[in-house]
Amino acid sequence: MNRDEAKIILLPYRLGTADADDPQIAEALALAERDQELKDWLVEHCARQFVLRENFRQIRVPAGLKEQIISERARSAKKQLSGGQILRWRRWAVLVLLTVLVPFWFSPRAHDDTLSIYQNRMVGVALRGYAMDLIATIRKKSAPTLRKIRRRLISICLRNSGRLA
Amino acid sequence: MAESPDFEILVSRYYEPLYQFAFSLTRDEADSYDLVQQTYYIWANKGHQLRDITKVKTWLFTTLHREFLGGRRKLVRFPQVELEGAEADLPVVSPPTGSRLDAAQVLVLLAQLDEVYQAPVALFYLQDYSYNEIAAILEVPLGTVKSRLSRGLCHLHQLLTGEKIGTSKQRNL
Repeated sequence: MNRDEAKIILLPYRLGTADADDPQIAEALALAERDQELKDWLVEHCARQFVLRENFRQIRVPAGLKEQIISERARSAKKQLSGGQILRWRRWAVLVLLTVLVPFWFSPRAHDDTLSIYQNRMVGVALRGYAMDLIATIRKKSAPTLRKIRRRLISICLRNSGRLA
Repeated sequence: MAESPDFEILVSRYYEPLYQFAFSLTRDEADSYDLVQQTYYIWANKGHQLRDITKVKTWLFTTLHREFLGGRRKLVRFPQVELEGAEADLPVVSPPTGSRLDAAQVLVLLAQLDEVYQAPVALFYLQDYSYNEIAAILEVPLGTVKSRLSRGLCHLHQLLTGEKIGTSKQRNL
């Protein structure tokens, strides 16, 4: 390591910090112990670093910033509180609505299970027309037309009625 | 998970270094004021998401830096000016006057560094942060932080002293 390399290594060196634990910095510091010119440079550099650091830390913080941050927080907390109250009210409303609706929703539908309803439904089923079924069956078997069937049925009925009589 | 620290204690503890960091980035009092307030506002709303409460300080600095970068991206009020073209407008800082510097002059010097070097250099001086901490705050790899610091400090040294060291071969710490 030459003097210039040591200077580059020592640029981020901060006196009194853990920087000296870095092996490269430790090596550069050891070189500075032996090299008077590098040592002088390092002393100056450390002094400059100190001044820079102090100057950075002297950036003046405007008065009232802390109070402003805290008061903003308090204001926003109040807003959050009112938001919380709204939420609580909404929860109550939902709860009331559920209390009203749930019993209605789960109430037993007794009227559907009565015998009279069942009977009516069955009668309806029994009385419904079967025309479509008949036509479909007839067409499937390529049977004669409905008119022919009707004519035959009438003739059969007449014949039978004659016999019965 | 540790208990969340009291908001006021958090403000008392960190508002000054946060403001100083913000000011070293923006060099504007109002912008820095806003940045710090915004940082604490975000903490108030999202701070509970931080699992490791010991990292509050890093979280605050990271948030402030993110807000700064976000603001810079949105910024259309101020056109970007290349440093070479604006040299005449910058205040003159006479070189080897380390001991006679003040905060304003230091910030002028910092402003002359490339933008990517400014945040690590400011953190380096402001808080004595380790490289790992700076990397965590800026959300960049450790190697990048070391390299940026090395270049930034080298440039700063050059501005202060006029001495040019190792420009051809930058050390990667």
